[in-house]
Amino acid sequence: MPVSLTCPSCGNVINQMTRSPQMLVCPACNSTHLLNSGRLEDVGKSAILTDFPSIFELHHTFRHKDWKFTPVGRVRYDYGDGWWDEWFVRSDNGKESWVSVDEGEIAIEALVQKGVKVPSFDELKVGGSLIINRIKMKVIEKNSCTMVGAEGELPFKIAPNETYNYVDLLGPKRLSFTIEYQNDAIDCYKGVWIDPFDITRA
Amino acid sequence: MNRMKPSNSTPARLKSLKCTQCGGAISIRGGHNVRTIVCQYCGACLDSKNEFAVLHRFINQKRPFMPLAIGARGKLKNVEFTVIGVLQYEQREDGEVYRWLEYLMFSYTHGYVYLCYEDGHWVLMHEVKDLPETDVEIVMPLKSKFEVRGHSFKVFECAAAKLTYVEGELTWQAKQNETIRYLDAICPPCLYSIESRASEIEYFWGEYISHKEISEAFKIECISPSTVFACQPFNCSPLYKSMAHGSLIASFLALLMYFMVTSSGAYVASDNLGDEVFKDSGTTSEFVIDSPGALYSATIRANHLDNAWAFFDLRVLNAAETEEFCAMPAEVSYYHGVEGGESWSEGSREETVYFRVPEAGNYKIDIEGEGNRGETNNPDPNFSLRSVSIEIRKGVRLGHHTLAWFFISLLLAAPYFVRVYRFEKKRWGEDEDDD
Repeated sequence: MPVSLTCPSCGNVINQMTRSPQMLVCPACNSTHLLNSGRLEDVGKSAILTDFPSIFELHHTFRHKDWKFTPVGRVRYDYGDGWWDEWFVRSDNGKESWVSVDEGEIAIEALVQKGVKVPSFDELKVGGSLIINRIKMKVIEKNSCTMVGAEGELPFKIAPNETYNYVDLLGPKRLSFTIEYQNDAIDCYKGVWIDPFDITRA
Repeated sequence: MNRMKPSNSTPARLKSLKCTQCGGAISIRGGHNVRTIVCQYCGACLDSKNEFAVLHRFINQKRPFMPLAIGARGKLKNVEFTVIGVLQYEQREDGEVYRWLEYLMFSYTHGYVYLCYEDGHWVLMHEVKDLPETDVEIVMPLKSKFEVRGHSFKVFECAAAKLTYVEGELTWQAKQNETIRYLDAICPPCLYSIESRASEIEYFWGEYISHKEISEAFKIECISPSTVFACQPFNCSPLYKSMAHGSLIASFLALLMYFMVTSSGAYVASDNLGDEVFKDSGTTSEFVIDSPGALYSATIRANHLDNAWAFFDLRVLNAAETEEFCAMPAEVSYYHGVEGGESWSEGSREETVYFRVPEAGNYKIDIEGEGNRGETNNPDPNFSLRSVSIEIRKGVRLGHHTLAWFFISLLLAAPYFVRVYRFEKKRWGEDEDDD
């Protein structure tokens, strides 16, 4: 059951869809709030996401083969030559994952909880190989990005202009693996590349 | 945490510009993954990631016939696409030149796809990260198989093609006359293509689109193709296809039924008759018919028939030979010889006829025969056979009806499968009529 929260800026009722979001953007006034002990704290306005048509929409349910999911939040990152959207999605079974979308290139990924040892950002080169958990993968992109805007619910605190480095890897059977380097923290996300033509509205 | 300031998260998009070489107007319709734009007026290849600087020029490009223009918009597979660029490739084989167009199309929701056009055929292709489940080289024998996404693909073509024309926006930097090597494999209506250029290999998934769909999507007149394309599906109504498959299944079932129901029956009696059959007539000993409703068979064998024919008239009589229940003709002929060192034979020395009688009891069969040797130009007036044997069996099941159903359903299915066979022959260029 979604929990109802009231926007401290405009009084709009926001339905909390995920288990423990840390950040919410009010769809009515675009105010960004941190969630503290069940209460919203206003921290300012979020960047407005330029409304290019996207394959996904917030709070609409989509299907990829047998998997049904609903986007509840979105973060946009700029990587210099362009930008991509990271959609925070909630599955029917409550599982939360990320779907990245860059002009038809779509990957579904979830945070790898167990500690995975990966090389430093500088050690990896585009075209090079990396073996993680006995799976050989190829580095297909190495870049840095800047967060430029957000909407909906997000599971972490994020601020505009925050920058981090990332490496995208491609493994067998469309395996997708992303390593994010931000300050001393390294987060790994594992998932799969999917075909946009396999996505339908549920 | 930084205070968030309202702002517009992405810069305004450039819609048009002037060619940095010739000043010609260029419209921009693609997304941020467009890398180069080739000016349609001067052939300059502009770097969209570096202030549209001229990277190089495509010289003396001859604009091909293009059924679709850059900027055309249409809805395919429920997705709105805009044509943003076009490429022409040329392949030469055995003195023949094959050319095709590849339109690069863009959609905000589904990214970049290629709409390929050749000889009136259209294929919608997009890059995928699905690799074959087994190792596949870019040169493989024709019709060799591999699996992708659970589909079984057959290799249709492995060749090299040259880029001969470029115009508009591309997500990569094309070079004049650059050569690509490719492997096309088919699982109609799907096409799986592996393309290798310079140090890069890309994988594409395609689907055949009928010219009618293209016509409706882009509101253009499309020519109706007269050839069969690599991944073109065999087009017929689902009802006709279902009926043909149903008929084929029915024919197999009927054949199975035929083998299940037919029976040569149980032995009742047998007898040998002498040459009286040919002089007057011969009558068998009495035999018992205890199942009057059942079908009985009488097999007559003329073991001494040699390069001759014989005709028998069999009549089923009661034991007292006062009443005739049925008359059955039976004809046998058997010829053999040696021709050109090869021995041959035709016909048979035996024939089976079937009968029913209304009541149980003792019966006899009266047989009257005539015959002769070979052709009847010089008939032998004294022709006869030393002996003729006859065997009676009961409970015979013929299954003629099921056999008839087998042939009827096979005939119903046949036209569809003959059409499919001829279509496949054309697809693989094995149709002799085309030559």
